[in-house]
Order: sequence, then structure tokens, then C-alpha cells
Amino acid sequence: MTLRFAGRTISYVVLLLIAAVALAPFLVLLIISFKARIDVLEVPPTLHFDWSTISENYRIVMHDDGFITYIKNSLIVTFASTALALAIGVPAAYAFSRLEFRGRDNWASTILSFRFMPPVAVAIPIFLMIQYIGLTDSYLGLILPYIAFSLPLVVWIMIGFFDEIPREIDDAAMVDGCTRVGLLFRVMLPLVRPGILVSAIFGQIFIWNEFLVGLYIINSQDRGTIPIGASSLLTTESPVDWNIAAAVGILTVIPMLIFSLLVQRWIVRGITAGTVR
Amino acid sequence: MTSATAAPRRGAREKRLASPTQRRGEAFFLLGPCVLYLVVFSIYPLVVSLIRSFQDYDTRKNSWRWIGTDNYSQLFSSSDFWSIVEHTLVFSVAGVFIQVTLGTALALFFNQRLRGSAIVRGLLILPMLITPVVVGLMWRALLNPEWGLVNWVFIKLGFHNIGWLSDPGTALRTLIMVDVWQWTPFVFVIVYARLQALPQDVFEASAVDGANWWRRTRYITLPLLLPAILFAAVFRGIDAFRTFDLVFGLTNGGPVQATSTLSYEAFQNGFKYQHYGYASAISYVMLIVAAIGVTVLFKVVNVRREDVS
Amino acid sequence: MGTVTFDGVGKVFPDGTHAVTDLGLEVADGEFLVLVGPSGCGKTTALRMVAGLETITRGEIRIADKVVNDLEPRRRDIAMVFQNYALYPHMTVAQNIGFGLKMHGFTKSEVERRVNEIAAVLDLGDLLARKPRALSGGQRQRVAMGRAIVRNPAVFLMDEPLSNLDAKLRVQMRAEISRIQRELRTTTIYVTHDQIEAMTMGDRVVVMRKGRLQQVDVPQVLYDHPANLFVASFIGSPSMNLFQGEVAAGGMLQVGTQRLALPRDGVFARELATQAGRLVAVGVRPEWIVPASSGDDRPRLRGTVVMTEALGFEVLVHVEIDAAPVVTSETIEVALDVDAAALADLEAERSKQRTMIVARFPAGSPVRAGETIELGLDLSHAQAFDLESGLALGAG
Ligand SMILES: Nc1ncnc2c1ncn2[C@@H]1O[C@H](COP(=O)(O)OP(=O)(O)OP(=O)(O)O)[C@@H](O)[C@H]1O
Ligand SMILES: [Mg+2]
Repeated sequence: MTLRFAGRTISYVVLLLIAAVALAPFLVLLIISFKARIDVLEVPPTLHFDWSTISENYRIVMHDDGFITYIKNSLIVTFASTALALAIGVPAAYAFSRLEFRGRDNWASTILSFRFMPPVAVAIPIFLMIQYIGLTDSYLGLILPYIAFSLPLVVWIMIGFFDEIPREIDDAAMVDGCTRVGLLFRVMLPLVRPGILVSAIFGQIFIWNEFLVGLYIINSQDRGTIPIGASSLLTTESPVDWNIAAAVGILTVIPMLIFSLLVQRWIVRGITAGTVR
Repeated sequence: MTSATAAPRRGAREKRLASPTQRRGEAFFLLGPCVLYLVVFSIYPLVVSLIRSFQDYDTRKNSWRWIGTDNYSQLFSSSDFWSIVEHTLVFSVAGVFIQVTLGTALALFFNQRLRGSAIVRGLLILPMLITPVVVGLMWRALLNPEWGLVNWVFIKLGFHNIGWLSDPGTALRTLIMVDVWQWTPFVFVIVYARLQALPQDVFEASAVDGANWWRRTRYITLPLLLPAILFAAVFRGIDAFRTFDLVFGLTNGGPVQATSTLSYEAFQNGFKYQHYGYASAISYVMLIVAAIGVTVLFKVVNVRREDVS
Repeated sequence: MGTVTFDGVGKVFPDGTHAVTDLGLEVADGEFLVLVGPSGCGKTTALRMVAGLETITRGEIRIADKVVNDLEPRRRDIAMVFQNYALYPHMTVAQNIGFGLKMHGFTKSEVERRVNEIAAVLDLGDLLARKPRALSGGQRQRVAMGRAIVRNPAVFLMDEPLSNLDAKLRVQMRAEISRIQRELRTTTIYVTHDQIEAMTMGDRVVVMRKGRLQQVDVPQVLYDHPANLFVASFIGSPSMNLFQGEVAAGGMLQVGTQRLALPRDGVFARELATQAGRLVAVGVRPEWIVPASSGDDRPRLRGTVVMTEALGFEVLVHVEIDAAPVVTSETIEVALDVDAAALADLEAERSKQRTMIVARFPAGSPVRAGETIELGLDLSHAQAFDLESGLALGAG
């Protein structure tokens, strides 16, 4: 009895510890974002909670630093790229799951292996290409490469979801009068909605965070996504205004936090899609 | 009548159709856009990179010059390059080893019923969703040598002030630590999902057989989890090998290149110094290693599930 | 007009499997044709070729005299019922049934009218708004049927539609499908593994083995005059008793150490008359083996009772007789299709050179395991087969 009790107590302590380690960096950032510039340097760190300082910090970020524009840009680019990647990737995944053609599995593996391609290997040619067609500093200049980067993941996840649907359903729909393409839209799409959700989520996470390629395609503040726009502020080794940088960090984290709480179940499903099947 | 015409028509038909339910046009319609897109935005850039890796870019004349394998020989004879290769390998192998160990331990830990554990599991997903620039910022704040929380705690506990990011001997370890913080949850999610999917009766049977927790774990659970662990390890390994953004956000490769990875080095050469050819050569070395990794990965996991009839 | 013609049809899968070989068959308009055979014999493949879900490697399939080899399924005017029903999980029962009509361009009101009509016939009226997930196995089966009937196609194709139901429902649905088919008079090709379904439902039955047609005929002829050893051992439950016998001089048949007098005339006698001195396979259905009584002049066979199975209305008596068993590739294949134990029994018989036969005795017959028994054989209903070719003797 007592041994069991002790065991459970230890378990709860470990649980708290895990939560603390996972959250500590976020909390520290949050606390810094509450401080005035001078107070950041205080040792030991103390908690400041002065409403005027907080609102001043976040106001600077939102307005003076144009964070609102970044959020808007991020939303546009992420949404458009994901939607287009799905439009291209889902039919391809269906073909890989259902059609029989020579070298099918090799083709599939090749496409999926692009998921692991080091972005630097293509960053420069892509940058030059976008420059050549005159799309630097435009949404499309980001969207085009982002589709290519998220496409392999979409195909990978969707193949798994299509494979789970019995082929008899295809057969039945074809006997009922559908063409192959018609049945994809009329019968399959509603059935793989969870898969579409999962791959959309992963596409979004990737695009929301990408900045290696985007950093050079976008030069003007007007078109930067959050990581691109904020990177100059965030990546200097010692920002002058730690409190402002922290506020930027927090504002970057918050959408992801909300997002992850909403779709947690699907994220887990996406991560495991490659293994537990 | 029919039998007379059957023979010549059959030949034509076989060319036209793979099956009556599968017409060529449909395959092109479904696959075409995807293939075309990847050709333009992945394969074409890769080919360009390959060609550039045998060329030299003259910034003044804005022109390319064929120099054969000079970029590669320069690369392989550079001691900087080899030390960066070493950093990258240490970072990937050590980092992934720790992630796999911790991730598996976490999965086993969460396999017990604890109130509130679902919430903590949810929190664990957060780190891997955050853009690495911000991850870098958070940890630079935490590890700040003057006012960072970590050093303050360390000094209170009687240790020295540690130059987490400023000491060349420590910086790579710090980078690994942050990568572990961010990506252990990924391994955890995969292994935990597998653990949940295992048939319970195996565990019940072994418990009835009188095996204690450690023996059950050692001889039953872990072997059953091995495929998932392996998958997570290879997957993470390839990703860690091409790590760029965490370095960019946390250390900028420094101090004195102590934390520079191959990706970061290629990025520096390409975008900063405009040594496009040299940068392309570095990326091609990486590509080959990544390709080997991917081959291993696809041996570990089947891309397409076997058709179940 | 819903005739279906197989003309030298063959199917070779890309991996080299010959699933169907040289199948020639005419299905008349309105006929209920059953395809039966052991697992893997090519029934499903043959059906899917008619549906257009599988390419035809060789030969031609014609529906209503039109070659359909190149036609997509949707242009063949067929409907199909699948083994696992293949209902669309995201659609209601009504949408499932109406989907085919919608695809064929029927107006909304027409679809609705027809769906309701069919729902009434199949007793699905209350379920129209449900999703398949919320249906029982039997109800799903009826929806699958409804989906096929509603289109009023030229041909129904059904692939083991009842195999996922429990025994009682199966009997019930068997009758229902037969009834509906009789009312609609739609040509139907029905694949089953279950020979009772085959015998009770089919106007004619096709027996297949390893992709080849073995025999096609009305059920009774199949039962009474199987064309070869394979059909003989496959059709009937318990199956036809087979043992070896030597045709001896003077109208006698030597079975093991025992000698049986052949009937003076009749088909069986004529078949054997040409086989003097040769070993043949003798097939006798269990119902033509009765307890020997002093009054009759049937040939008698002695054996040891191994086991009895009382079924209520009759007793199945398993008797081991002194005779060489018929172990050919055909009988082995059928045993294999039953289960591993059946195959082991056959092997045991072969090594002991003794044969287990089954007799149908009236209920309450006083037989006990272990006793020696005299059986009376009604050889006028017997059938002889060539041991080498497996073909029925005298069948032409
Ligand atoms: N897609 C395929 N590729 C290769 N061989 C196949 C394929 N489909 C079926 N076969 C083979 O063709 C043969 C006939 O298969 P089919 O499904 O027609 O048998 P069946 O009579 O329906 O059997 P069952 O009663 O088990 O359903 C089998 O040997 C099977 O293994
Ligand atoms: Mg079948």
C-alpha cells in the first residue's frame, strides 16, 4: 500500500518535472516580454507585472515593427500554399494507392525522399529562378517553392489514408457509374477527410516556420512572413531590446499554441502515419 | 464474325489499356501535376546545383566558369570542412541517440495511468511546432551568461558560471541539448502510439507468468517497440543531419565555427559569400548522405502497405 | 436482353498467375447462374471480368451480344453486390441506393421515387436516413442488394454476398434473393463457395477448378451425374463416397477382399462392361447405402463402424471398409478446400489402404461405433470414374 503510494507520488513529481522542462523556455520568454528594457538584466530574475510596460512592449511589436503585417502575410502564404499542395498532392497520392503502373513504388519512394532533401541544396537555384521570373518580394514567390516543399509530405500522408480504404469501394463506385477521377471527388475525398486535415496541418506547420528560402526571396517588410520578418530582430546574438524580442517570440508562439491545442489529435496522427501501419 | 476480327483488335487494345478501370489519361491527370511540379521546383534546382558544383561564380563578371572537380577537391582538402563534418555527425548521432532514449523512456512513463498526464502529453507537442528562430531566442535568454535563469540556478547550487553558447567546447553540447528539448517529443509520439497499439494480452500474459516490470519491458515491450524506435531514429537522424535553422537561430555557427553544420556552412558560402559553386558542392555531399539515409528509412518502413485483398 | 457470353475467356495476372483459362459459357436471359468451386479457382476473377473491373487477357465477353472487353464498368449495364458490401460509409442508406441512379443522370425526384420503391421491397423504409455504420450485417446486405436492384441493370453480379452473415440469416437471405430474382427475371451470375447455395439457388451451376470449367448443368444432373471425380467429390454434403474397385469377370466388382455383384442392366453396368479387368473409382452417394436386410438382393459390403452422427432426422454412419481409397489430385484438392483435417484423413486412408465411407441411415438405426456392419449398396445409382483421367465413364 505505502509502497504503491510512494511510487505514485514519485510519478507525479516526474510528471511535473516533464511539464516544467517542456514549458520553462516559454515561461521565461513570457516573463521577459513583461519587463522594461532595463529590468531584463536583473539578477536574480524577478517577475514584473506592470500593465503599462506590457502593453507598451506589445504595442511596439504590433505597430512599429509591423507584426500585424507579418501575421497577415503568414496567413495568406500558409493558406494558399497548403491548399495548392493539397490540390496537387491528393490526386497523386490516390494514383499511387490505386493505379497499377510500372515502377509505381519507386516513383512513390522518389517523391517521398524529397521530404528529406536538404533545403540548402535547392535554395540558391530556387532563389535565382524566382528572381528570374520576377517574383521576389511577392506572395507567389514564396508560395511556389513552399508548395514544392510540402508536397512530398502531403503525398506521403495521403497514401497511407487512401490505402486504408477498401478497394471494393472503388469497384462499387465504378460499377455504379463513376469514372476513376469522378470517384476520387465524389466518393474518396469525403472518406479521406481526416487525412486531408492531417496533411494540411503538417503543411501549415512547415510553411508557418520556414524562413531559409524565404529570407532571400523577400526583402521588403511588407511581404515578410512571421519568421522572415522577425528573423532580423530575433537572430542577432544579443538583441538590444530583449523585452521586445521576447514579445515578438511570444506573439509567434501564441498562434501555434492555439493551433496545437485545437488539432493536437491530428498532429499525433500525422506523426504516426508513417509508422503504425 | 467476331472471331475473325478478334485477333488484330486485341493487340491494339493491350497497348491502349492497362485495365478497363484504369485509363492512361486518368493516370496523367492524377499524377501529372505533382510530377511536373516536383520536376520544376525540386529536380530542376537539384540538377542546376549539381552543375554549379563543378563551376565557379565570378561575382564581378556575373558569369560561371567550368572548373571541373575543383570545388570538391578544395572541399575535401579543407580541414574546416572535415571539422564541420565532424560537428554535424556528432550533433546528429549524439542528439538522436539521446532523443530516442529519452523519448522511449517518456513513452514507457506515460503508459501508466496518471491524472493530468494527457495535458502534459499535449504540452510536449508544442516545442516541435515552434519556429527554430524563436527556439533559439528562448534558449539564448535562458542561457544568457549574465542574467540567464540557468546560470543563476547553477551558481546558487555552487557551480561555476558556464559559457553555454560562448565556450567553443560547450557550444555544440548546448546545441544538442536544445535539439533534444525540441525533438524528443517527436520520438515520444511515435513510440507512444506504437505502445498504445500493442495488444494488451501479451502484457497480461507475461504479468501472469510472474515477470517483473523490468523484465517485461526488457524482453517483451522493447522488442515490440523496436520497429517504431528504429523508424523514429532514422527519420530524426536524416533531419538532424541537415539541420540549419536551429544553428541559425541559436549560435550562428559560432563560436569559431564550433557549431557550424554542413547546411549552415553551405548557406554561408552560398548566400553570404556568394561562393555558389562551393556551396553546391557541400550540398551535394549532404545529398548523398541523405540519400543513403532515406534508402535505409524505406527499408525500415514500407511506403505502401501491402495490398490486402 | 441480358445474355452473357464467355468466349474462350482467359485471365493471366501480371505476376503470371493463370486465374481463368479458356472459359466458354452462355448465360441465358433471365437465368440464375451460380459459379462454385474451391478457394482460388477463379470465380471472383471471372465475375470481375464481366463487371469490367479486371482486364480480359484472352477471348471475349459479350453482354446482350455486344463485346464489352473494352468497356468501362459504367457502360456495361451491370450491377454488382460485393462480399463486404462496399457500402459508401459517408452516405446514408438512401444515398447509397440512389448513388448509381444519380451517376446515370436520373432526376432527383426520379431517384427518390425509385429508392423508396426499392426500400419498400427490401423492408428498408425505416433505415433510409441511417449511415451504414449503424446497420446490422443483414441490413447492410439488403442495402447492397438494393443498390444493385434499383438500377434495373441487364445483369446482376454477386460475389459471395451472403458469406458474412450468420447461418440463419443466410438461409433467409438466400430465399429472398431467389424470390427477387424470380420476380425481376434479371440475368444473374452468382459466385459462392457454398455448394448448398449453389444447389438451391441456381437454375444452372458451373463448377470451376483451377480456372477451368469442370461441368455446367442444372443442379440435379450435377448431383446425379458428376462429369468427373472433382465434381463428384465437391458437390454434395456429405460428399460422394469414392473407393477403388476392380471389374472382374462375370459381372462382378472386386472391392478389397469382397466381391460385389453388379446390377444386370442400367447405366452403371454398361459403363463397367467396357472396363473388364481394370481398376476404376466407384462413387456411391451416402443415401444409396442402407443397412443390409435379409430380404433384399442388393450387393453387400462389410465394414467397421467408426463413428455415428445423429442429426435428428437421420444418422450419418461412418464405416471403414476394406478398399483402396481414391486419392487423386482432384480428391486431394477438394479435401484441401475443406480443411487440414480432411486432408490428413485422406492421407491416413491411403497409408492404410482402407476407405472411410458415409451412409445415411434412418433415425434411430441401432448402430454403434466399433461393431461390424453389413451395408446394402444400391449400385444402380452408382457412378464409375476412370482413375487416371478422373472422367466419368460412359459420359462420352
Ligand atoms: N491481382 C492479382 N494478382 C495476381 N494473382 C491474383 C490476383 N487476384 C487473384 N489472383 C489469383 O488468381 C486466382 C483466382 O483468384 P480468385 O479471387 O478469382 O479466386 P476465387 O475463386 O474467387 O476464390 P475465393 O473463393 O477464395 O474467393 C488465385 O490463385 C489468386 O491467387
Ligand atoms: Mg472470391
